[in-house]
Amino acid sequence: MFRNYLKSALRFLKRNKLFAGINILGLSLALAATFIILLFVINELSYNNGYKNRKQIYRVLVNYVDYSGTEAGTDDEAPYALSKSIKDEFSQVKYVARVRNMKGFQIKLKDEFIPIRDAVGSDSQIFKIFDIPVDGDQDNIHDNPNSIVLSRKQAQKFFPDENPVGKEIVALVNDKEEVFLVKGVFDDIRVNSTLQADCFINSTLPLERLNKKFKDENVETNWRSNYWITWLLLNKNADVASLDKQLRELEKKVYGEKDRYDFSVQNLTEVYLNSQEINSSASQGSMKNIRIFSAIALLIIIVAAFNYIILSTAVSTGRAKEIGIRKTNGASIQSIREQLLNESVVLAMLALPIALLLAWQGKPYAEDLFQTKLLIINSNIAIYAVVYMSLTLLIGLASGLYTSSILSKLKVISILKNSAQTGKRKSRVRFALIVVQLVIFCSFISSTLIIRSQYQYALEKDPGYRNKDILFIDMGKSSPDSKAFINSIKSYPNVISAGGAVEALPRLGSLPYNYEHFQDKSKKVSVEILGVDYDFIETMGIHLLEGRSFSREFSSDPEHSFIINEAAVKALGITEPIGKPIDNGKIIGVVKDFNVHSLHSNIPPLMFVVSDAFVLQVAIHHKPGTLKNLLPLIEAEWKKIAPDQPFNFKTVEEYNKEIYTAEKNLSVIISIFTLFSLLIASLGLFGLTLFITTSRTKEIGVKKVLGSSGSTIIYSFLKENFIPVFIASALSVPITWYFMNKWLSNFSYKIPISLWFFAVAFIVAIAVVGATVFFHSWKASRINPVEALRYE
Amino acid sequence: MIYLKNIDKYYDSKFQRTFVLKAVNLEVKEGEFVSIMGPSGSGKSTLLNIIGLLDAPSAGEYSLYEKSVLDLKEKAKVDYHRNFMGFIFQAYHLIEEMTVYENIETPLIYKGVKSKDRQAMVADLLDRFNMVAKKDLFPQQLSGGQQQLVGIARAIIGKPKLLLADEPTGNLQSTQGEMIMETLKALNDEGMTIIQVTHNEKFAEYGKRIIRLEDGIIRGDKMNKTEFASVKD
Repeated sequence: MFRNYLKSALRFLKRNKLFAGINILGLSLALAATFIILLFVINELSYNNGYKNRKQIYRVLVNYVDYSGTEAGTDDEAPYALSKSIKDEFSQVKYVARVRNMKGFQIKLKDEFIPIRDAVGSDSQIFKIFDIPVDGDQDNIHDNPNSIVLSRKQAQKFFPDENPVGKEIVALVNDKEEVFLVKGVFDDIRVNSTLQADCFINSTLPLERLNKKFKDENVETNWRSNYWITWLLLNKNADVASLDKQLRELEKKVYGEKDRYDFSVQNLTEVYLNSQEINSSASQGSMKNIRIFSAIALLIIIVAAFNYIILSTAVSTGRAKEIGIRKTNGASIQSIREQLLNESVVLAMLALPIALLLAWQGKPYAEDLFQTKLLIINSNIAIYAVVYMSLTLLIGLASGLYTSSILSKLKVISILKNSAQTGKRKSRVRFALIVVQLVIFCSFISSTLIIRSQYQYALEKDPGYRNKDILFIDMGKSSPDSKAFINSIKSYPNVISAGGAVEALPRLGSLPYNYEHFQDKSKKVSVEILGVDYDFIETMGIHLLEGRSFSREFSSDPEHSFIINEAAVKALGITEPIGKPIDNGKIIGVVKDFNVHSLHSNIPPLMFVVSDAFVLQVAIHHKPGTLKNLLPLIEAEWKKIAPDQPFNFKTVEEYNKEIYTAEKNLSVIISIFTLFSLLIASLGLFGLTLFITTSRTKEIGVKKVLGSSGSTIIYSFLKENFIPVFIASALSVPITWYFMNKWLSNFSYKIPISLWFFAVAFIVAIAVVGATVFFHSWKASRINPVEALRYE
Repeated sequence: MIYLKNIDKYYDSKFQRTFVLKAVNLEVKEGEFVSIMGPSGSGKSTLLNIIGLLDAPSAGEYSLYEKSVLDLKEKAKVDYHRNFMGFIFQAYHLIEEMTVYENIETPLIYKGVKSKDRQAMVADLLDRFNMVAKKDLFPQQLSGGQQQLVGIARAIIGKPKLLLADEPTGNLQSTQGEMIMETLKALNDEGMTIIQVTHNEKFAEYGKRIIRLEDGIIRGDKMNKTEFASVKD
């Protein structure tokens, strides 16, 4: 039975090459796009999923609490001593291990030192927590400070084809050459894991490095030196709430009543996708992106599945006769339905290899687009295969379901009499499907436009400070002599002014302090502090409303003078601000509000503090068009003050663009998928019009005999096809409005959603549909009526 | 075998009822070869379709072997199509995507006949109709007469008791038409009951009994002259 179906399906496709081609092409495109998105989504969702104990594995987080008692941030690095306290006092914790990457660790191969990227200082229990198989003596791996456990890959590199256990290697650690004993070899850790390691060494080695770096701190006992990612394996059925209680007690014990840090634990399953708020060097995913991408994939699939239904119900006249014959030959509705369902599954399956090929070809572009590497992870291959196969099957089934149920119910007698109303030109369902496709298409277009406009707006809006002809120089962490640097730069004629600050504008971080409200002493107002030098405010063109700017002539300025913005005046409830006391000094000036941060947030109350020592970024205001000549000169000055430091610079425009990368990427991604949906939907429309024009040859012939002109015929075709465009663009307005409003709500400063976004979408849709339909209708309008009428 | 009583078939439009068949009474016995004749629009095909369970009468009784077949469930109808009757059409209605062999095989597949048995049965029929060499051709590659032969082969492969032919020679030249009629006659001689609808007086004569239909009413129902002659002999 199945062979019979398959045969007739394949032969039908062979005879209807155009229909099959359009359908397979549409499906392949949609599947390829979906496959790429799914590759990304599966990889993201499977992160850390390889660990059998993942439900019991936790990471310790440290929440910083500032002096005013508000939380100021969360880190994934905890004190060294925490691990021992937990091991000794927490009965629910089965194993605990602290982990820190060892910087600059190199292993000698022949006569060359090879840097090891992830050399992890740790404790033996790390293997038990993550259940990593180790060859060798697992329990006492880290007895000796100079023991090392290599990954299989590294072992193969340094000891090709021999067993390294018990052998010695030479490594460069903390700038010293030392001999290490290889105690074991562990199975390579998957790429989609938060814990990454090429080798494990004793935790005392990074400890030594830390102690060397911060000479006066005893990192192993200091509860305020947080450098260690601490992993726990809890007992089965452990109670996390009671663990929290124990942590509170521990905090009290080590920090006293007025504690500065709050410890908490985070499950491994949350670590990758749920850590946006945590300062961490581990790689992170974003649930929001997964959602956006999955939604796009779903929409593309809907467009493609609808295409299939639209086309196959249209060409069904060809099939109707066959179905009628089969019925008189004893086929039941059920068997006809099976046959048609089989056919669409076969078609989808034919698209599968093409889609895989397209996806493979498109992967590098998608990597650019998503800004991530799209890895094909070995441990996920089974998942990809299952998901891809079932998705393809599902599309085949879903799109075949409607077609088959319609066709299998056709009355045999009417088919055989040739009067069957199959392949109706006017099918309500088909009309609805076309409208849905167009709604998706129009919404994509207007969304892209809105996102792009918001991005442009963000780049072009006047932030209240100079946003061109400014160059930012990153002074780096080692803070070379910025004062001398700035002074030497100022001497160039093309430099108008130069000044430094803690951060460039718009600033990314924030340092809020709480001040008393001027009228209501019980109220605290959070004010951001920005450290600048004497010239930064002037260089950035920040407008001074009243009072004066910082000046070297006043020796009290560095500690006791402050400049605030309008928002701070308002928030603190100050009248006549100049000369009013604040902190341990007084207000000397008020500046006009400017966008301190990106447009995502409101302008906060801000207070400038002056000091030459705060300078981490230097802003240079230069004459327009002189940047090219100026850059080598500035670089030469940089080499003078920091000869061994990299010269990092950005124009204010580049800096601004970087801040809105996410918006830009999203707009690019959505525009690409707009193109996709356009391509697929117009393929379908092309096939449909082709079918309709051929099935109307006779009608057109008769009309022409009766005196209709070619243009009237084209017009009637266009009119028929423009109706769904009108409806779809109207329907797309509220949908797009809703989602884009939601997206725009991330911004404090945003563009209004105006009608022209939708007008453009409408015009594009009309143009696309018009172009697709025009070709066939023009051909149809030129039919020779004699030919057309002789047809039957 | 076939018993029709007071069969009406009509269509209602807003103001009037149009009768296609009116008070048709007909009984066909096993082994008969009935030709239904009449001008276009006289209701011949409708009558055949009702007999073939493809269409339902608006009123009247219809039974096969004394069992009423009105209001049959879809499944039971499919069963009759599979096991009891075969159809031949004016336009042959072969499945264009399938070869001669596969076309003939199709009813057996729906009947659930095993692959080995199917092969043997199709081979037998191909042999009988001298079409072995053409078994892998597609319908478009055959002449009209050959296509109709395939149509007949397909109709009888399931060994039906009743063969319904709707103008089987309508699209054929007379020599090919004669060949088809000879084939039908031979089948009838082997005991198959045949009902054919035709325009052609000469081909109607192949039937043992001729029914004349006009405006949905049976105007004549008589044994064939040659048949009478043979009875008289």
